[in-house]
Amino acid sequence: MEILNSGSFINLENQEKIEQLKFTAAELANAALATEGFAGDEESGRRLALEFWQGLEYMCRDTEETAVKNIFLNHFLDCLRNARPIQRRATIELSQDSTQIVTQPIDNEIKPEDEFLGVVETTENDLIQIQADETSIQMKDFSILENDSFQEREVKTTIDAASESAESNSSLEGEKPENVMPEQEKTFETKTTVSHLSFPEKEPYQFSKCTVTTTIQLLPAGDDGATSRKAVLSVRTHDFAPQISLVELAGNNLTAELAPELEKVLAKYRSDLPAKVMDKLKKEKTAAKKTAPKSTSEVKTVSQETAKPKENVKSQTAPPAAIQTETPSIPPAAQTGGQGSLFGI
Amino acid sequence: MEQSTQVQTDAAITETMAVVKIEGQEFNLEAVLAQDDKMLKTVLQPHFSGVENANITREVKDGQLTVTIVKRAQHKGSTKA
Repeated sequence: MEILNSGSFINLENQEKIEQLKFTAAELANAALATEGFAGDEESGRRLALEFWQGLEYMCRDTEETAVKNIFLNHFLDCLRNARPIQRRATIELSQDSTQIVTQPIDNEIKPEDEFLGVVETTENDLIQIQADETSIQMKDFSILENDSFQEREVKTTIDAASESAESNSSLEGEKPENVMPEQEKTFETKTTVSHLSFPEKEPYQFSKCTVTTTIQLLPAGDDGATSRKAVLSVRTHDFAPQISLVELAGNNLTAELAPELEKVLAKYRSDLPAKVMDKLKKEKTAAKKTAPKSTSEVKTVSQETAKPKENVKSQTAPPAAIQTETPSIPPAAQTGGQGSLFGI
Repeated sequence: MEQSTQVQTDAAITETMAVVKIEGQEFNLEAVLAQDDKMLKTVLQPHFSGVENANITREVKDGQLTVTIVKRAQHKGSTKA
């Protein structure tokens, strides 16, 4: 399988091209994962995929562009998702190691010593009480802990009573990632189920393929007791100006009366949409043209500004020069020698 | 913050449709809806949230009402902007 060249034409009928596109997406995803410092979360992956898509500049039919794009993006993100759980496990293992390191100095540091009696030895009753207290705290804070961790902690309490409290805290902290991990995986699983990508701002300018926002505003009925009501129906897509129309309803059955009016309004907007798109494109073109000459005119003005002072300098220096050029004709030898001496000639 | 509504000319509105200019866009609206500030805000609120505290200027030219709406700068962190 070969990587699809940038700028190549892709159509949905050509299965080979689609497979190549998928392969390219997978290769790019693997390359991204291999790079150091790449945060493989969903959002950054999506951004990267979009950047890749724009950079590759694949040619598609207008009708197929979104489908092809979604294939690329979904495949890219799938590859990232498949690689992600492995990374997380690795990080969690590291955290466990770090907790082990932390526990050892705490054991050494904390030794209950009485001011007068020296080291206080704890009795079995004290140990049992501490265990009971600890388990109650644990049950309150972490009700999901596994039984194995309980047993381990009970064994540790027999060693030293005071170190137990510190160790229990550290062990609880150490166990947190283990308990958190399944939750992370759960959230990850839920994220994988939501794989649909939507780009509302990049929707095509087609009535059937874009988000149409329709608002119905029922204005208050008149005070004269008439049942008829006026309603404002507004329709809008993308960032176009809304089409707002005022209709009058009999008021007997609002929903039934609204339906045909809504249909009319939507049909009108549907017919007007291409004209709006054309206007927008024209505006964009003119704006682009305006910005382009501006930059050149700025350069011109700058060059003129830079040129003007020269002229001024010339105009200022011109009269003496003229005098100088005129004057040599009268005394040629003496003045040329004087001027030449200035430049060392 | 009070909004300033100015009717620049007292000429009669003969056209049924008014022209609304807002956020660099122009569109037609029933003159009945455009004449009153409160009504205009109610109608435009779903699409232009900043209209609530905007400056509304009206002008009648050749019997057609033209409404210019300019959003006013809001305080930082205001949710209604």
